[in-house]
Amino acid sequence: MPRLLTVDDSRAIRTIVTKFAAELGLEVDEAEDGEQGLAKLEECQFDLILLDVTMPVLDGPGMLAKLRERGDQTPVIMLTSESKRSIVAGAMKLGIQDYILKPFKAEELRAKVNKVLNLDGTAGEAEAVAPPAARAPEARAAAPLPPGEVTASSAARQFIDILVIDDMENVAKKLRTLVPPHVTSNAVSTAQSALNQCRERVYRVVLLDLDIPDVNSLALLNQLRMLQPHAAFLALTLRTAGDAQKDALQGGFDDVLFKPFDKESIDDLLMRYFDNQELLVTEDNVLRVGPFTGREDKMDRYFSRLAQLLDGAVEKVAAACFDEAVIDVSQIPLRPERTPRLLLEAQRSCKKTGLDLRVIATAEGQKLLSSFSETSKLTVSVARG
Amino acid sequence: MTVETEAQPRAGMNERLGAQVKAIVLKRLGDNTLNLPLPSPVVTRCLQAIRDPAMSVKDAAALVEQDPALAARVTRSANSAAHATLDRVRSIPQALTRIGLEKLRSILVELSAQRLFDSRDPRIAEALRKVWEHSLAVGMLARDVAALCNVPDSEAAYLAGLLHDVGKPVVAWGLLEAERALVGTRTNFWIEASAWTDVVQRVHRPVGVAVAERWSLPETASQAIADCTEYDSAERLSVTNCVRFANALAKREGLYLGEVDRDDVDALLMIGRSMLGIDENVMGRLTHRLRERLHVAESP
Repeated sequence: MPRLLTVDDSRAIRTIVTKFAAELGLEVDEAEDGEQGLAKLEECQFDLILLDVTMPVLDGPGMLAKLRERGDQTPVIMLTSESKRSIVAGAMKLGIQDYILKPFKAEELRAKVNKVLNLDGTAGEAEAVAPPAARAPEARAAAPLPPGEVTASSAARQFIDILVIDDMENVAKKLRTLVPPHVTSNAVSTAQSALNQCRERVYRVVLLDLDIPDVNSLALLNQLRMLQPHAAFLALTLRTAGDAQKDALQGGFDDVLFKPFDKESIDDLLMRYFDNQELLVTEDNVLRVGPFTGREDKMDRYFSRLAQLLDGAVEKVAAACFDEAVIDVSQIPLRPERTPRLLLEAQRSCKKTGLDLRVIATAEGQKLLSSFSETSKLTVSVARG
Repeated sequence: MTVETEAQPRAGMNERLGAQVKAIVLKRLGDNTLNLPLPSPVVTRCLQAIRDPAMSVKDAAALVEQDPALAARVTRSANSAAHATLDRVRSIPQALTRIGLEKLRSILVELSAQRLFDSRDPRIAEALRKVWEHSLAVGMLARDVAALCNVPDSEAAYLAGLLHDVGKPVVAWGLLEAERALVGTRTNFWIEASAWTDVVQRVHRPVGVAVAERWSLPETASQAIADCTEYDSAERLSVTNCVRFANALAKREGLYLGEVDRDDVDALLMIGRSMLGIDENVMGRLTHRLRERLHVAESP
């Protein structure tokens, strides 16, 4: 069990820290000043010290200096009402891990203690927090995050699919009529309420109107991105708005959605950000490719999305220690210019991860693949029925 | 016995020069005889008029229309990606309705300040361009920090950030005037570039405070000018604290003219994170695409 030492001349602070440490399952000891703190550290080892600055007998910086002088590198978080830059800079030179200004919130103390003691296992949470469907490549590129950069607090936030930010209420109502019931959505009409929503919830897609009175949409976009790094941000604009699409993309939006909405563009949005599960379903080592439904001119996008999803799906199969990945393309449209290329992509992914590849296709599919030299050597089984 | 290094007499010289320039600039500011590139009379009138809460969009438009540069700037803002969706605006009242009077205020102050950061002397122009770039970065970051920390009026944070170093170009103008008086030319610095930066750095704050008073700048801007290096823990979530944090962030990103004390900057960021309650994740994202966004904001 990690051990924590609180060094503070205030009994109230020591009591709060002790109570909090008990909640976190930490063992805790107390000292009233720097001298006592040093004595405690001679008696036994601690994993973390919460250190006040102003104390009688020996103050925090004095204790820290003596501690480092004798080669003790126990991590220290300063917990103080002192906010002078020179004092904190001096302590940083002696090696402190973090700083908490009194009065403080329990969440801040918890987050910083957890981080120093490495108790929260944030690396594992990152995957749990970010819905896979929201990780469109464009969204990732727009807001890169180092691995594991997700706080415990965000893990507790509620997931919602779409946030609509538009001062006209009818926009969200209209959208609601076009998306299936299982797709959840919220609507707000002001910048402040949008920021509040994004603090409290996790969204996959944020639709932001470019024409909210008195709102600088690009500034708001940037602020919301900080709170929703995994979300895709789409600008809402009118078809008649000249260069709005180009400007919005230059300004940092991932895409543009034109108003008034039409069924095709909403279907496109759903396919792009929400239907990945049905586009490529993985069961054990079988990757089942879903059929194409939609307008002919969306076919390219269907194949592109599949190609993007393949790597992740193949990695899952490899991670589960299968020797072979089976890709079922019996429902896929047979396009000489696209289908063989997709399977070559699958073969490349499998080779990279050390898997063999087997293909399940219709008889026509098998014939198509055997007609190209690059795909003729693939192991293809014909689907029954 | 102390050994006098080369840097010591230079520092003493800069200190004396700084004190002299400060005294001259403050006196001339007080007498209204400092030859500053002032904003156009329309911009000045507009700034005064907009303080009246009863001012209508129609009245504001009538003023804006009198200055072609201002009118162009307002129209550009209304048609930018930040605001536009409908047809291009065709009139100033239409543009003002779209951007709002608060945005107009930002444009007016920005225009006034920006003129200060211009110089025909190429070396001063380059130095002031860096100061302007830093100011713009601090303004944009302060606006984001304020919005994310729930500090009311993030637009005030933008203005305060933009103006927190407004004393620097004024000191630069004072130095330039002194140079003209001495050597009657403006082809080269009469002092070394590093000494020039040092003098500006030494005296810009009191000069900036005097400018803020003279221009009746918002209180938050005056506070940011007066002290941008120590937080005020009495009012944690204040506009000025947002500017202080933003200032440290911009310095960390290398957007600054002059030397940066990394220890100081790191300490300011560490204190600011706790003071303002900024999550570590958000902190990492604040400067994302900052240079690109600056480029967009600076483009004509």
